[in-house]
Amino acid sequence: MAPVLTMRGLVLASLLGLPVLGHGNCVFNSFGDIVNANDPGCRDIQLRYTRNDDTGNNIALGYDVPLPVESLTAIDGYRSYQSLHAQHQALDVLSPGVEGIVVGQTVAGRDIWAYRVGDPDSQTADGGTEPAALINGTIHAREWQAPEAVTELFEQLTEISADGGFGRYLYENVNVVILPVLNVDGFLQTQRFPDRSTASELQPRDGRMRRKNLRHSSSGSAVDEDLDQTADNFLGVDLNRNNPDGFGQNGGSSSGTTSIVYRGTRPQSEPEIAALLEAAKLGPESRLRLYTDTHSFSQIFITPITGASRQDRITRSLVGTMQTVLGGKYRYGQSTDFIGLTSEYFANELMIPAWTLEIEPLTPSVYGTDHGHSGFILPNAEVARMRDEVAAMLLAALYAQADKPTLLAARIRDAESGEIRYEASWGEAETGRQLTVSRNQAPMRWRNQAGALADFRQLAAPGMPEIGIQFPQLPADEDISIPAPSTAWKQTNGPDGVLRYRDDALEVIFTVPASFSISTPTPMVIAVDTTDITRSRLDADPSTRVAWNNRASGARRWVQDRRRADTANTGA
Amino acid sequence: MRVQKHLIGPVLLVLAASAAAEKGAMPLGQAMKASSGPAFEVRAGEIRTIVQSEDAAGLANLMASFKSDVTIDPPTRERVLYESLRAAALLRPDDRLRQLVEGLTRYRSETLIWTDDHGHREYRPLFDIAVTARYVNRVWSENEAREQAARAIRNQQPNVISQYPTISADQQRGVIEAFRDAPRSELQPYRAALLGALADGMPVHDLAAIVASKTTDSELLSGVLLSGPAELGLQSLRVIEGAQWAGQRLPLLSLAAERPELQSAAMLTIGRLAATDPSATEILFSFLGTPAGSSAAVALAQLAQPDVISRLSLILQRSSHEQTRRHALLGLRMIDSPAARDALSAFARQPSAPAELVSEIPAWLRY
Repeated sequence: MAPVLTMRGLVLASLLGLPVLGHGNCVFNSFGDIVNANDPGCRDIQLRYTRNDDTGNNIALGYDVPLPVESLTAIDGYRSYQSLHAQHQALDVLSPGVEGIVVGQTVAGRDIWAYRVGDPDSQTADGGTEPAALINGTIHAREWQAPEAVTELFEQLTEISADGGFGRYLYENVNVVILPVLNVDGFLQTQRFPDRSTASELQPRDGRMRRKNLRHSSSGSAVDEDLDQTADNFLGVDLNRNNPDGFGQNGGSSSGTTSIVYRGTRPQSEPEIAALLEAAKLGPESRLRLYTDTHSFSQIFITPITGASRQDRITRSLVGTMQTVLGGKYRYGQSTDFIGLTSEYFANELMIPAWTLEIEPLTPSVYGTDHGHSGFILPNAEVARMRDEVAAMLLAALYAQADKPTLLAARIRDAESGEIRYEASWGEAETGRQLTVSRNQAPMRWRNQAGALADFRQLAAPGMPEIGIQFPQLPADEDISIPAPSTAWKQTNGPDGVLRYRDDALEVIFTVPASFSISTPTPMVIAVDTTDITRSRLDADPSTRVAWNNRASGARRWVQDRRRADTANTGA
Repeated sequence: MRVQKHLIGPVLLVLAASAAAEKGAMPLGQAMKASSGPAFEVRAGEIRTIVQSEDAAGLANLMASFKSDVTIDPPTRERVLYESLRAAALLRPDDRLRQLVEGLTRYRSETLIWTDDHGHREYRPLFDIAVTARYVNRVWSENEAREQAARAIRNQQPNVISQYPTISADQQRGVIEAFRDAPRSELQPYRAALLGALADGMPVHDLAAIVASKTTDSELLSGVLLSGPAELGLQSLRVIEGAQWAGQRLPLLSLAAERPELQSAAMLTIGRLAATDPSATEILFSFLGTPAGSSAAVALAQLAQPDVISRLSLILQRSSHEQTRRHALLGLRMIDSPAARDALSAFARQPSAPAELVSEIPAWLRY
């Protein structure tokens, strides 16, 4: 039996209005769970968040308690669910390339919406198979940072979709599926009681601190939403423990229905998880190249280590890129002992880079008192910055996963006569691309609002490409190395302009050696070495195309083998 | 290479900190058990007695003894210090108590717990003494400023306005609370000074908002809405919904709608008023072709009135302004009623309806 602790003798002080740890008679086991959920001395404790009043069962945050605000557009703070939903619907109706789909219903029967963002076709701009990404938000109700950050990404994607550069590239080359609020019932419960919670300051539960969905473990229907009807305040399923990979394993969840990490009766038992799987199909699943599950707090990417080394390397690299966007502000962590997270499911089953993104703060004490799980309540004043930062990281990930930068075309024009001397491009072929000598493309650089080449936040702008021109039939000292000032990224359309996106074409001015003869065919080798915005190097072979369809079969076999081994080891 | 080098430091530090934290950490239940028991109960009783007698010197003596008491183990000591600090926040401190609390702002908690509910193990102090000590300092600073400001307001001292921008954030909170506590009659005389300060660009909007709210002063509130922090503007929009603002509400909300940060919230507030005020409905329709049109459309949708549905339907069919049409479409989309569905359905059947506007309507009608 787990050791338990009773905390009697403190209610009297609480009634006197003196400061005292507000947890009534809640009893915790070694797992950290409340074990006397039916004890009125614990169950009926009502807590209230305040700015500065720490007396009785009040919990002082040290800053104003954020309340949900009715506003479609982003504010310095948090929007109500109704406003967020209205904003999502507005983006759907007003923006080209957005499609809203009901992907399921919650336990209480509320619609769960996902939004597909990107041009309506399923091909990249140069004819390849379009990749997809799934961004999930608000699986845990109290983590209000998540819907704000995910909505910001949604808003930015639509705002920049016609910018001719970075935004247009994402619009045409990635199918982004955004599920802003998965746990709608729970989120509404937290917003219904934005300054109230129950049970214990050490583990506040319902109201603002509800984490789980509203599943009543006995009836199967939804629990009541009245905080003062305390009998069912502890119930609900932790949706991020309700997934098959690691379900009920490694001590990361509980079979106790009142536990904060109650995993449910079986994997994927909850309608909200079914909705997430439906959202993945909008990618479709076979084209997903990225899954992020957006949480708070602790400022870290938790990435499942699948054992498929290539996939794990790609995931680590991608997370590294996102970390660099904010100068290493977010930490990197690994999950190796799976416990039923959605990120573990997507990493293992779909073989794609997947992670749990825990948004800031790093610790509950960064902004306030560290009382009553205050890390889940980021102050209003920090929300706008947080939104922008998280969106920037996710934009970088989408860009990096869209495609590998490739040298796709070259044109040599005689500066004196204006005549085109050579023109070639790699174009769509049955398998990959083929080179056509006569006559696509990713923006290779980020520009700031003033239109100048700039760092993507703290992801430093790459230097100018290194370009070397060799003439194998001429003496080696005739080779040309192009100095950086002789090159310029193109920003406009027109002759010798951009291929498709701003900054996807580079103009290089060079002088051929005196011994070079235009009239006699002379082999010339152009070598280009550069990286794109997220520091991905040019693909060495443009004839191949990055493909991510139908998972990596080798890796899948590895996971299945490992599962067999696990099963044998546990005797289950 | 510079970037990589830059990152190695923080990563190693985090790893080192995690390793150190992991060493002594306990599960919550065990940590609470270790911090409980007779030794804690006795001292908690002493704290309660001292606080009830408002004895700051006595609390300072107790805290000093707790700090150096070798008969209690660290978890109990830290819990006792934590409760002492929370008690200290309720008292007017003397110098010794201040010094003790200041010293505790640098305290490194020894009793660490772990939490697994993030999907990975995180370590944190069971009782964060340093953070709580800093909180107590802030409370004291605020309380003192509040008392001083209350006296200044009672004496009608004019410099309370001019000094406000120069004091600390904690002290400003104290002055704000003093203004909230003060009767309307004592605040009215500050009106002119506040208007002047706002005109001079001084950041006294918090005080102006309180005085405006207590005296129902639309000129003062206009200043807040036009140039105050957006968060304060949003709070002020809620104030305007009060009955005492009837007659001044719509002009103020229209003013707020001019600021992009307040625009949407202003539209939705106008929408709530429109249930009883037809002129509010007209304002919403007038914004339908503007960037605030999506919020106006949602506000109209929340009314769900037959007349609104008819007008939105008409705009959808006849407007030549693309943005206005899309906002009307959004309005109908957001109304969950048979009449709105009929309007959408009828629009979708029109041969002249642009494909990009009708493409999703069949799906909406299924939901």
